[in-house]
Amino acid sequence: MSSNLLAIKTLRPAIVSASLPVAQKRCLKLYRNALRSVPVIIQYYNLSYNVSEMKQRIRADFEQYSNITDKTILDRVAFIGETELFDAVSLLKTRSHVVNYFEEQITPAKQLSEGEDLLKKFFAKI
Amino acid sequence: MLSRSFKSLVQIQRPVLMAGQSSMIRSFSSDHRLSEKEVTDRILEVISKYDKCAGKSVSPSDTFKELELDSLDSADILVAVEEEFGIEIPDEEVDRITSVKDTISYIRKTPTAK
Repeated sequence: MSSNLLAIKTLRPAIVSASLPVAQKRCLKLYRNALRSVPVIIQYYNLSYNVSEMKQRIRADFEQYSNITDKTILDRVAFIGETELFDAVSLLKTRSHVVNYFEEQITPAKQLSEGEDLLKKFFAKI
Repeated sequence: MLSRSFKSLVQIQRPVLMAGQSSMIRSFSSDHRLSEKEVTDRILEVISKYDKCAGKSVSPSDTFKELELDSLDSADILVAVEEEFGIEIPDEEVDRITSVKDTISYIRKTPTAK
């Protein structure tokens, strides 16, 4: 319990970035920190993945949000990522949380076919 | 007379302890930074091992953009370089590094790189 409280107290506040480039830099910083903590996570949670596999999974996670151009959304995503990483390296997660993260495959957002897109536009007007 | 003989005794004994080892001792005043050639070779090896650079010829004058690497790729490469040299590049420096040349010059001026 006490370690939990300590972790919550030392969590960073929800930072609001001044501009879009600042928010993007924040995300790159998070990405570097995530890559650096891969060996630590393997050791803490006794994982049997390849380092390169795990790095690819983290990268897929970041590429998923690569087309965000809204500063506030980027800040929100970065904050979630920072918190998750912090929890993982502070041993606030259990092994199954971490395994679930690395087992889950990210599928790219489904491209709507022409007909579906047309229907969507049609229903949006109603 | 007595002091001279005592001195000679000490002088004879002292070098015996160090004999043959002088080449294994590194003086801390000497310049132990890595040579430019070694740094360049090791960095080029790290970069050419990266997936997206496989099959490309990487030269020290290339920027990451010329190698068709995006921001995540360059972060990947810098983390690999950090692991190779056993250092951690601070965030404000990472923003300034945009080419192979920048990486080499940063490692060259970092005394803890090994």
